[in-house]
Amino acid sequence: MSKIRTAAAMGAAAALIAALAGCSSGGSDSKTVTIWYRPNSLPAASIKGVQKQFPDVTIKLVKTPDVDTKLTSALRANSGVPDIAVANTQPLRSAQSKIVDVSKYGFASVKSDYLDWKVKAAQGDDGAQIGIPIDIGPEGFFYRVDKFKAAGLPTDPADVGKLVSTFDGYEQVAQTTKDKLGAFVCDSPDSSVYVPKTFGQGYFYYSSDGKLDPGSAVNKQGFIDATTFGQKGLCLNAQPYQSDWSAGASQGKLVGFVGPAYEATLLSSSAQNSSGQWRVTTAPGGSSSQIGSNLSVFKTNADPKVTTKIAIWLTNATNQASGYQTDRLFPSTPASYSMAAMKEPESYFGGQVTAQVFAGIAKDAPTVTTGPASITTQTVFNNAMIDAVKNKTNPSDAFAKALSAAPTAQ
Amino acid sequence: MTSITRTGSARGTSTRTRRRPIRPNLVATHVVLAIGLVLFAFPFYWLVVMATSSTSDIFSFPPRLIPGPEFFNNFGQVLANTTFVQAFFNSIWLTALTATIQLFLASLAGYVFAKRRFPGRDRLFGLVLVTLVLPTGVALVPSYQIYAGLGWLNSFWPLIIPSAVSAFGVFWMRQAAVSAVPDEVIDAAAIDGAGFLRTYWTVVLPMIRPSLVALGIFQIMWTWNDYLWPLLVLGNPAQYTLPIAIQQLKGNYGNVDYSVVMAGTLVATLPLIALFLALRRTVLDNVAGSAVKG
Repeated sequence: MSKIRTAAAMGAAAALIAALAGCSSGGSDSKTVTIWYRPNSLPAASIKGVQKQFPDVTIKLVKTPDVDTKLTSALRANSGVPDIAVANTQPLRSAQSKIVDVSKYGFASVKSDYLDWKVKAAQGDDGAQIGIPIDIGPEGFFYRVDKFKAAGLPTDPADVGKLVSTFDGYEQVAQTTKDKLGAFVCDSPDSSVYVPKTFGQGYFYYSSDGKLDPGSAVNKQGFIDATTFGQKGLCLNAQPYQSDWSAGASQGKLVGFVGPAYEATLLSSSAQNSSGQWRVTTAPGGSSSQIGSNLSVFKTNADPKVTTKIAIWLTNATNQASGYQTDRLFPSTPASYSMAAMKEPESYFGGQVTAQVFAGIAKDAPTVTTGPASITTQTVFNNAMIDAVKNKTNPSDAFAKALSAAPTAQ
Repeated sequence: MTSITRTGSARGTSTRTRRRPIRPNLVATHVVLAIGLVLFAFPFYWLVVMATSSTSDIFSFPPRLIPGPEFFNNFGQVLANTTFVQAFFNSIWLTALTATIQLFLASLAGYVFAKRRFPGRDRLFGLVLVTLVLPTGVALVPSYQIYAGLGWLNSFWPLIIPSAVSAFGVFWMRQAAVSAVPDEVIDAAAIDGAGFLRTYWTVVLPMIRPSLVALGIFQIMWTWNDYLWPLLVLGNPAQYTLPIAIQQLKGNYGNVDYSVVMAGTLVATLPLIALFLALRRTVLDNVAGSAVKG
């Protein structure tokens, strides 16, 4: 019996050792640079080329889902923090002491390569540059040519852009497609009306002097207008990235919507059946853009100059230009817009060069002031809007109620 | 069942009972079971349909209700965009290892708590139980700090050590030992000269086998499906387990190609289904056994 026991114990030990042979513990020295990034958040050319570009350091690229969750734990425990990460910049402001102000290590000299408003949106307290811009999400109006034709509407992007340039014009188009086709050119009042209205004025729950301001007139007007739009039954009432949005696009119920450039990926995977019919033009209410992502450099590496240099290279104009067609990352570097990679016609959009439409919007978009509470405040007002549209509550009352529930600190 | 019917018809006065009528309760049972079967099996069937169609097909109307020809195309994308094969291997050995250790340690502790007498035993068992009520979310950050302090981040240790023995496992095995192992058998083994470990190995273990299998299935499911904790502690794509690999298919800004994700999910689910089919007799015996003992 003791033989069996010994054999079992030895077997278990051997299995344990064999299994753990693959384990390694990480550690950062100045010669190893660890980069965490979400799938598809960096241009493929950057990922492929970075090691070759910096042969003196070992670059460890870690493609990981939910970078923000992982990063929060690492920062809180002050352990396992990478050298560079693609992360939501605003929530990182609470950990600003652990982030390199890249303007001190070489970013200042290349700052003008990036869109000014985007650079500002990646700053923390006291103007410290805690993020290096990657992509942005200029808002365009996506629509289907065949359906617009059937509804007797113009189909050329320039004409459609003119038609929907005001919210009144947009509402008329929405009414026409609804009456004639039973189809919608608005996915949700929030993304198609509220976002272009408020982002177009540089508002994301903070006033331009950086104070949390959910009670602002811009927010109130945007909320009331979007809710009223929704209550008229002009929207599909489906949020992007949810299955009813994809079903609407695939079944021809959603024939137009306002959304950032990167939603083209969502559209083309959901509605392959209408390939070639979609076009993009300017959105109602003038130019606006979603802020998009940034790279942050952490104080884990002994040589912040090198890590900053790597982060800058990853986001240079040439790399960003290549990321548009392959990864749908719209560049934050205006020099990219005139590069060949951004002048290619796209078959999904019937041969339209969509990059050029978005380029114009990106350049004109205002600086959006954001802060740590932007996302949480957005959730409060979004939910209130969805409820108000569903229950047909008075929009002003719904706004007042949401305002009382919104965060006030910061 | 037949005898019950005969008794029933003998009590009745009608002669119609000779025609062996369709018993309404039997029909009702089958209808309920059929509805239950559809309810439980449909999500899995739908998984198969989604994994074998294109995303556009899934969302079109009327929806596609039979499996399509796109599986290899979808699964090809899974392989191209994730570390799926490596992750599959990682999940297999990690799950097997944690389940083996858990079963051994939990059954040993359960047996001791159930059958050995020593001072403070019940208090100690109470302490073990208290840890059951702590929500896992609360322990997440402190645990992360502990493993960071030990220098175990980016290794598999934080996945193996905490699941080596769980309060639930000890509780489960103790209850099994209390109900399935009579004291007389232990005493008899002692009279025959069996020591502590020998009694455990040759007497107790075979008697609590069904509960061991059930706990094993639970443990395997937990480790196989665990996402958040491995995400936090593993730092190298070559170490990723299946749930993280599948999550890699979620693109920037939350874009999901459903059919590709479902193709990955389908393959990731197969080992669990195979395992359950292989062990179902033991598990069902155990459920029935418990019901009788109940």
